[in-house]
Amino acid sequence: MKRFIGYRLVSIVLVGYLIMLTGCATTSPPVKMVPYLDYSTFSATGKTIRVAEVKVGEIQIPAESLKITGEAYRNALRETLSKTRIFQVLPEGANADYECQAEIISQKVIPGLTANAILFVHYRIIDNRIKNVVFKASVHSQNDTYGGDLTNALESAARDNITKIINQLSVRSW
Amino acid sequence: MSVLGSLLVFGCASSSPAVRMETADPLNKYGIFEVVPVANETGKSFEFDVAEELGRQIKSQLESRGYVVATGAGGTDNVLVIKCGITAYEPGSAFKRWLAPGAGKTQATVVTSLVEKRTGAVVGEFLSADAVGGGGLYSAGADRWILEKIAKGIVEKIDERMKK
Repeated sequence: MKRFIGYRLVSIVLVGYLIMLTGCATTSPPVKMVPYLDYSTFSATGKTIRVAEVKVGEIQIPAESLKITGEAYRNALRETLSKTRIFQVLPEGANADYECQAEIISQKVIPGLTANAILFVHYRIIDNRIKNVVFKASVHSQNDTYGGDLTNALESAARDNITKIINQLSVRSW
Repeated sequence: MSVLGSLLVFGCASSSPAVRMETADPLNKYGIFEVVPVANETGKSFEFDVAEELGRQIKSQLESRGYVVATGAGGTDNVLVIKCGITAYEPGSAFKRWLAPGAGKTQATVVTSLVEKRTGAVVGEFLSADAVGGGGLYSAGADRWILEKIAKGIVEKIDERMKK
């Protein structure tokens, strides 16, 4: 009986370690990165913007499938900017008043019973008339999710990051 | 032996931050560092002053590498200001880590800006995020040495840029 309990304890500990290491990982690619905001509160400026390709820097995630790609982040940025109407988002190749450049400097997920997803993004807005940077900001966001849903943790961090930059853009005059 | 083992696993390593520099220029034009009081941006207070501890560790790491750390607001020429903010900190618990692996994680996130004192321009930004999720009772004290690891990582990155 004692030996049975011992085996049970050992297996519980091993499963615990496995969960800790893998984060009982759901690792589908992050896609739900458009923030849940009240978009009716933003004011339209009538200016146009083009969102450039998003560069991706340092990646520290437990599974390749979990990575936020530059394309997915760019799509989320485009969709969010369109919804806010702060700018009218123009397609690739069009002449816009501004260009939004974003670089994901770092995306990191620390697995565990509570997974930590940390995103560090640098944004720049270029005024195409004067070819100058008129706005720049580095935004960091973190989401701590209990239960190991790593995709959800990273998506939440991305939504938080985009919300922060949108809030900064919305209070500036363009 | 166990203590040595845990030191090997946890104690010696630094936590390498993600880095964004405004230009590729080296930092060796700066001769003096000024470490402004670290901000605790977590909105919480802890058993000890985590912000003060991190600031102390950064100064100590800089001095141990032979750099001059300004004690007050001296001159402005060649001064690089190091501004840090602790944005997330969870002290965790070695006992919980021993009891249930995966629980009781110690975690800290620090955002650092390097600012040229003369112009006020940001020359670089670091993001350091680290955690201790295992190690059981051997990881006791992680709530303090995670800050030491982060400070070491920040200073190592500055040191690399000074020598480039």
